[in-house]
Amino acid sequence: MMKSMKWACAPLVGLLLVGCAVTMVSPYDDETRQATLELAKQVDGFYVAMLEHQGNRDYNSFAGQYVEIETELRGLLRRNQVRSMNSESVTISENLLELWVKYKDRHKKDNHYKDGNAKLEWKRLARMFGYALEAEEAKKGPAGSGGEG
Amino acid sequence: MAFDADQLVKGMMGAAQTSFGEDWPKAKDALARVLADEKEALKDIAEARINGDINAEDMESQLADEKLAFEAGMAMVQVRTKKTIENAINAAMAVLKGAIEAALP
Repeated sequence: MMKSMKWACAPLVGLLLVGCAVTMVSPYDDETRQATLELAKQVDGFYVAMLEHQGNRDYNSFAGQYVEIETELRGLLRRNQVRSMNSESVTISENLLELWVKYKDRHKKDNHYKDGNAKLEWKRLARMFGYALEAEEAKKGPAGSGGEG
Repeated sequence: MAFDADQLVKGMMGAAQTSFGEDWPKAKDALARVLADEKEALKDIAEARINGDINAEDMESQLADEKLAFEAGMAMVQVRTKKTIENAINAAMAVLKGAIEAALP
């Protein structure tokens, strides 16, 4: 009787165990990491060129790069938004996009970008990309798990 | 195989503690780093203003932007913290799974 009860319970226990892994954050996504790295590099390139470009820093000279980077940032935000349990990475992407658009609009309005602002803003954005990368890395499975989820 | 609930709970707790002990320092370090980054960023803004590299309006804008940067840092810390808890729970659940599987005929 006892033995047959055990066998009867086995499928139930199996079902319980299949569903017992707790997930609190989205699984690690290498494509997101690569996209973030690439975007951080583009922003670095933008500010290196900007700070090299002493004198006239009219908006039109940088308009193409602004559009390109904004498009990529929107893509990164969308990529993060479609992943479940990913609100923190969405916040980081939203904040990066908000600042990028703010800096672009100010440059367009002033038709100039001050050295003082450029240095602070480059450092800030680089720091935030670092946070985005670290957040993605943190989503990897525990050491020795063999998985990335 | 006999099912020893006390031993099982002890094993689950041990697994959770080990996992937590490995991950928690990383989350704590991340928080310390975000706070240190913020301190340095505020210092940079103050210096830029004192040196005349930015004006008063720029400084206000830079300070406002720091809120978003700090929020991004804290979001990263939150991921690390959640992952620490997730790993600890799953380590305990793995012990439970092993014990149940061993007890099955």
